[in-house]
Amino acid sequence: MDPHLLQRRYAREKAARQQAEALLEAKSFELYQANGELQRLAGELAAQSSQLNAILDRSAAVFLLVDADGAIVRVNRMAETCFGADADALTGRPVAALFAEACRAEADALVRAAVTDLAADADADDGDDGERELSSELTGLAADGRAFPVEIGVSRLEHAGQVHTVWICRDITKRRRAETKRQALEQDLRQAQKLESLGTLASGIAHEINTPVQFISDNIHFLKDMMADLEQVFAAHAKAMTALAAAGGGEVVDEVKAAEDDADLAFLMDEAPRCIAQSLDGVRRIGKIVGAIKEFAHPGGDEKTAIDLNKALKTTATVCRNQWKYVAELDFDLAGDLPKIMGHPGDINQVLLNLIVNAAHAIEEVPGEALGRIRIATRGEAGRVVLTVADTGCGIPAENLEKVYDPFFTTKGVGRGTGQGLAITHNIVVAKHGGAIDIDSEVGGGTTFRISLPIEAACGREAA
Amino acid sequence: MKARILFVDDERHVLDGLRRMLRAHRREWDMQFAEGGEQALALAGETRFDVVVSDMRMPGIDGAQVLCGFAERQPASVRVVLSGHADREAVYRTIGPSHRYLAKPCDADLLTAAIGAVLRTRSGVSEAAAASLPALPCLPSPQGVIDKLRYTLSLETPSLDQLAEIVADDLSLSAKILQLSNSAYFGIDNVMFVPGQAVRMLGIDVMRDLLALPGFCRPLDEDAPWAPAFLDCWRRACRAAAIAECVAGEMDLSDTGRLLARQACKFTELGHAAMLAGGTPADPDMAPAAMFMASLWGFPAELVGLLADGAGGEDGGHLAILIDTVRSLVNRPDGAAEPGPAAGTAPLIESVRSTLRQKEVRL
Repeated sequence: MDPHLLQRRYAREKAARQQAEALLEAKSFELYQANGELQRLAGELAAQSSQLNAILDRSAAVFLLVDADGAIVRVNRMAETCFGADADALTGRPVAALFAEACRAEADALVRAAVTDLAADADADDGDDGERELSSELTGLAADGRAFPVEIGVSRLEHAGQVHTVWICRDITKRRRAETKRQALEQDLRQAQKLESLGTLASGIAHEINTPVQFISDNIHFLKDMMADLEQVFAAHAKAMTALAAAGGGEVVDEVKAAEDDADLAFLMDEAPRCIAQSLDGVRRIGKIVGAIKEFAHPGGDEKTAIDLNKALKTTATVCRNQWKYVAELDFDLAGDLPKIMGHPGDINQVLLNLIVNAAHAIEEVPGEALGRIRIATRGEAGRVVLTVADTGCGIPAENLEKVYDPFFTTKGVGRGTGQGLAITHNIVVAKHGGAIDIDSEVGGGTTFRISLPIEAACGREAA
Repeated sequence: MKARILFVDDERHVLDGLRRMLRAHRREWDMQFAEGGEQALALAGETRFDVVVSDMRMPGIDGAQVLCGFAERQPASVRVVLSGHADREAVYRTIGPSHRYLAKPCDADLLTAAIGAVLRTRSGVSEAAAASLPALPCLPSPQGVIDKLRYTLSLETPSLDQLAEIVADDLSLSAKILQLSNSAYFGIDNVMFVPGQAVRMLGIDVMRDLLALPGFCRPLDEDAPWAPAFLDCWRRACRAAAIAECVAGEMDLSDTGRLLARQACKFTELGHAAMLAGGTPADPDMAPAAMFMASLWGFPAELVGLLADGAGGEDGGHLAILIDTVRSLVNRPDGAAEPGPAAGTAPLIESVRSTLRQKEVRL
């Protein structure tokens, strides 16, 4: 071999090896770097994944991944809580099984519709007018059989060539409850407005009645005076008739007697005064009722004014007489020199009305025909006026005593009570007037409401 | 001479009913009936009436206009509203021209008692007083009182206590408030003895409305020749009320009695003040004028009765004695002369005196 040739080859191979070594080193380094990057990415992916899982699990909404056949593939923690079953028990089941019997067909239909009708790519939201989500409200069914309202949104997910549907569900029990409450409040408001316009109407009618009552009453007074005068005239006539009979005017006397008998004069003279007295009593009663309606419906302003509680009680009892007179006798035991209280007259009338009507209703619950008794008493105490309304009604069971002021709590049948009466009463007495309410009740022994209202600090002269 | 009374209503039935019902009074009253406001105002130009009783809501000329017309043309007439219902604005137009407001349906006894009482008390005063007192829509108050009232009501949330006190301390405002609250001007007829309480019953909104009405109050013209005498009257009324309140607290009186004592002593000066304001020569005996004013303005009969001279009499009880004593004490310029009580009441008077000394009331 040519030593030169050998030498050159050796040199060339050496260079090639060196080159290869350098390349290997560079590649190894690259590999090393690539590996680090990969690890970092893997870590990031894992972190993102656990973050996503955490988000899904923390979510207050239920997430369900459902396959195209309607079988549950994956659930989040809320789904477990909401439906009362763990993930293993849920996966694999048909999604429709999570809902009440009556909703299952709709749930199946939602799966089919989501798979076939919904826009494929949920990300492309520009220029796409296809629907992205189907929504509905169904009744959910927990593992323990508890049914609850759920709001659901179903969307389509296409991933790795497979079509899934994603169900986001929310338990809307609370919202439903709030809605019901709001509806009830609205109804209440409507009721109040109705009452107000009824009140306006009633006081308008009351005013209309006043004029005829005025002249009917005047006319009956006139008849009363007239009868008194006529009686004197008749007495004089009778005397004249006797004289005439004695003087031999028998024929005329007989004629007059016959006419008197024909008209039943004795009866007329007997009955007329009583008829007049009763009519006067009746017309007075009408006047009193009309006056009470007028006073009860009298629109008060927003300010507190001095109120004579005794008078307000009598007015209210007159206005709602129809509610109690068939079930109870009503007794008043009112303090003579009761100080006035400061308050909103309309509100106070409302409280008194509620108390009296409640008492009447409680008495109505007692079986039997005997009349019950409502006893209303007022007393002045140091700085306060105390009103008690005691009935001989059915009483309130101890377990209900705490709840009587809750809005919507009622034991009365539909149409009898809205459950608002005592809640309103409590609000007016305690919040608006700084007073207090106590209930003393015994089942079968009746109930006593005791309301105390403060007298406004009477610092001025003539203020009390 | 028979008193001449005019009844005005647009409804024939009401007039006929009244005519029949009041037939029993035909010997003392000469009654005429006008069907509507036009007819009433036509009669105002022809006949002088002692009393006019008018409905409020009538087509054409309404009750407020009728009474305004009479207040102008026959200021000496006693003017009464008898109405079932009227809106606030119309009612406000009657405050000033009318003396009293009766709500329909009005019981026959109440109507006849109201007319009877005002005619009876009127017969006790001089002709000049009978003519001048009904012409007063309200009595004057010192400018300072009206300013205070106006300021208090201009506040965002005026204190009812403070308003009550301003009214209670002013003779003229007290009288006006009692007039308004004992009538049915505000829909509800009450029996109110105490102006301060009446203010609380009416409330702030109504008080604000009232202040804007010309017939509710007016400032005293301090340059008027009668102004000093009026102010004396006014001060005596305040003092009498204060003394009565002090003493009543120490005496064996019911709560109503205590309240009445203060008012009866305050309104002792009502007739005197009204005569001065009406430009009528003062009568030496002021009780009849006070009683006429009080019954004209519809004060409760019980209070009117206590304004009589010597209401104490022999059997008037503690309340009447207290009132008599306070009156005589306040009216004596030196506070020394004997009050001259009825027999057997000396110990009581002494107790009033000693209470007064204890309370250090300056006489």
